[in-house]
Amino acid sequence: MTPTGENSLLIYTFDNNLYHYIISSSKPSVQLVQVGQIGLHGIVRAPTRVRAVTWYIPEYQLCT
Amino acid sequence: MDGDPSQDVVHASVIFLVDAKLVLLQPTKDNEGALKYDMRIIASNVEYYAFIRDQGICRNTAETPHPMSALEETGTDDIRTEGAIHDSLWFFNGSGIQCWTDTQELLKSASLESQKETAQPISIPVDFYPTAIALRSGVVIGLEPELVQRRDTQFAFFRSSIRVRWPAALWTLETKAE
Repeated sequence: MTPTGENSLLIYTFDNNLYHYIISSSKPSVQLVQVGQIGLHGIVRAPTRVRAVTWYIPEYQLCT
Repeated sequence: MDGDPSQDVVHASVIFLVDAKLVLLQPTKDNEGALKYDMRIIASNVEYYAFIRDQGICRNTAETPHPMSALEETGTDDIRTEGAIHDSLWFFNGSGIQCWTDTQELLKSASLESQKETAQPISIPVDFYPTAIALRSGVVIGLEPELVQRRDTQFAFFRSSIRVRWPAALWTLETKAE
C-alpha cells in the first residue's frame, strides 16, 4: 500500500491485484473511492515477495 | 479522456520492488488493442527505493513548513515548476545511492521500442546506511553503528549515530532546477 500523487492510494493485495483508490475528503467524512484495478496474474508470479509498489503517471494524464 | 483518474490504470507504468529487484511494467497495446505490460528489470540489489513524486514535497511548497524555508525567500517554487528532481527515482543498493533524475527519461529508455540501453543512474557512494534523502537541503542522512567502550562498564555496546553526506552530484541537480 502506498500513497501516490496528490490524493491517490495504491493497494496491492495477496491475490495479485493492484487497486487504485482516490481519497476524497468531502466533509464531514473522508472516503476511499475505488477508481481502478489492475489484475497482475501471469505478470507477477510471487505476490508474497513484492515488497513495495508505486507507479508513474505521465504528465498528460495528470490533473493539473 | 485526459485527466480522468479512472483511466490512470491504463496509462500508469508500475514499479515493483520484488525481492531485491526493481521491476518496471510499462503498458502497451497489442494488435487487438488490449492492454499488455512489458516487464523489465531496471535495477538489482535494491534495498529500498524512493520515488520523489510520491512524497509530495515539491508540489505544494507553501503547505509544508520546512526549517530552511525561513531562510529562503525564493527558489522553493522553482523546484516545483522546473521539475528537474521532482520526478526522480532513488534507490540504495548497499554500496551507494543511485538516482535517475528523470523517471520519464528512464521509462523511455527502458521501453522495448527504444534501441538504446536503459538509462544509467547517477551514483552517490556512501559509507553509512542511508535512511533519508533530504532533497530541499541537498543531503543524504543515514546511520552508522559505533562501538562504544566505557571504563565504568564491563561490556561494550553499539550505538547508532547520524551521518550526513553532501554529495556534489545533488547540488548540481539542485542548481539545474532553479
